[in-house]
Amino acid sequence: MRILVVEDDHKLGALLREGLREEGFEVEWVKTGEEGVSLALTDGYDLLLLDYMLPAKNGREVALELRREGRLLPILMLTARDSAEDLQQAVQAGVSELMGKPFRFAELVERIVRLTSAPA
Amino acid sequence: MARSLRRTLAVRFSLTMVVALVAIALWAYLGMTRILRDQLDRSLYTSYEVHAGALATQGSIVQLPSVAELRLLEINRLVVGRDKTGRIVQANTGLARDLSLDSVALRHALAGQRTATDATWRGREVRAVYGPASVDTGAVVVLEVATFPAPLEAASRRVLFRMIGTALLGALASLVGAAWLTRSSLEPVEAIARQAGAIQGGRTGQRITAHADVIELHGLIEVLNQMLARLERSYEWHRQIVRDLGHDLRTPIATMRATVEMALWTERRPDQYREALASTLEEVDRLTLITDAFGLLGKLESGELVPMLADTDVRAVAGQAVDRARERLGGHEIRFTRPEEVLPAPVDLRLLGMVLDQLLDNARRHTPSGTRVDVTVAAQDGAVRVIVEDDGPGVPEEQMGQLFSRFYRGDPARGRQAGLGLGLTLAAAIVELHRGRITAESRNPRGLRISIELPNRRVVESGSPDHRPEAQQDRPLG
Repeated sequence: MRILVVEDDHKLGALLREGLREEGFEVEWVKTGEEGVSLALTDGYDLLLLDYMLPAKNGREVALELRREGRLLPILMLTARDSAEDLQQAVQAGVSELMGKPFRFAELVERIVRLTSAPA
Repeated sequence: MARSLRRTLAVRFSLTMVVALVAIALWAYLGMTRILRDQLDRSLYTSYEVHAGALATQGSIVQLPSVAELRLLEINRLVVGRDKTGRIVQANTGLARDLSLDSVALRHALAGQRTATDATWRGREVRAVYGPASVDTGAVVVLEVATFPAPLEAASRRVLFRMIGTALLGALASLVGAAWLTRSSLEPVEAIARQAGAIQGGRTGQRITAHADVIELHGLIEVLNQMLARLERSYEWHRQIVRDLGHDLRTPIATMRATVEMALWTERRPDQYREALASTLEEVDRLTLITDAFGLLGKLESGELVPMLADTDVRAVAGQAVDRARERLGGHEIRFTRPEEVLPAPVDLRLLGMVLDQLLDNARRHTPSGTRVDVTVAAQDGAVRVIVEDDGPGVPEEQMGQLFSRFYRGDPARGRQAGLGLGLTLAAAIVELHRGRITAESRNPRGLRISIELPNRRVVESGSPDHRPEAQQDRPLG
């Protein structure tokens, strides 16, 4: 199971990568939205774990671009923003599910498993 | 105790009207009395002429018929001829013989002058005219014509009472009118107050529209709407701060939670636990930094923090900040330029050190490793100037004005590298506390220059200029 993590926070990104690897996922971690789009378009990932606030291109824009390019992979967005407007925009951009920060790692794993096992 | 403006206005207006109307009535009464008395005197003089003519031609004053005598008190004149001593020698009616003598008027008449005077007849007031007889008829040398003013005065009084009655009716009418006037004047204000009271917090774009088309109220409504707009901006600003603060706190908390949760997820080696604890401690420090920065900013903005000003060589403060930065900012070259002479200024050593640390840290955050940061201290026009320049990407022109705003980071990701977004706000507040000035401008071809001007003597607050931070875009962005 291949997961692409897009998170600009170094510590959190590293934690996600290590934690998910320990759970048996194959994880790649990039820090910018551009890198995320680029990798998600070229390589086959089963899930995109996407931060909302990213430099230059934010998570919503990344999701929007991938959906526009026809990529149907599940997108699980991590966000510290919780305004109704932000959440609505994320869903409209094609994000599959949102998870607020701080989150329980166990719940994150559960969601990843559920999203990757659900039929596309 | 609550007062009714409407009642106050109505009572004051009515009282004013009552006083004015009564004054007008009295003035009219006095004027009318005066006019009537003058008219009476003229009438008496006319009678005097008639009787004097009769005396000259017929040797006797005109005698009243007996029927007329009966109505004398009502309609006619008492006419007497007096000798030099004032004794009555002729009268137009026997009733006239009881007229009292006015010796002063007699003396004037003997001197050839006509005089009008008040006299009495059987205890009643009469108005009398004395004058010389036009022809010497022997005994009669002075002619006196008198009449009763009482009917006229009674008529005047009746008019006065009617006028006072009219004044009171007018006052009552003015009370009703004043009540109606004040009611119609205050009704729009009450409508505006009702609309203002219905404005709810949290909803934007609400404005007062009631009676906005009334010219006299236009200014008030405009001022209120401007105030609403200011409050709305302030509310939006604070909401943004709370939202940003929430975001800033959530990321370190998320990291801490994930670190601890993963440490407990499975059995780890001791060094892995230590690493997890160290990482958590870092996040705790970060949270502490955020709360400390907010606390300091709050104290600065509320005026609670009083700077401990002491004349200090700003070169030394800057030099210490540069030394600290050199230890911290390993990847950057810091060039420090300062004059030979001492540059004293009244500063709080600790606070100014924080400002300079912040500017240098800011330069490090936004410039690539290996680039140079210039720190210059110089004297300039009664001030000491500290300039921090970097070769970084600078700040886009459209964002320059927000540089000293809270949470401005110039980086939409607001990531860890961008800092708290409070540093320059704190720096600006501290410089302002020193009655100094902080400005930012773009360098050519690239980079950012932040200048601090500190007065080299203590500035009296009331006479101090506006020291708010400024951002200038006087050079093209690199």
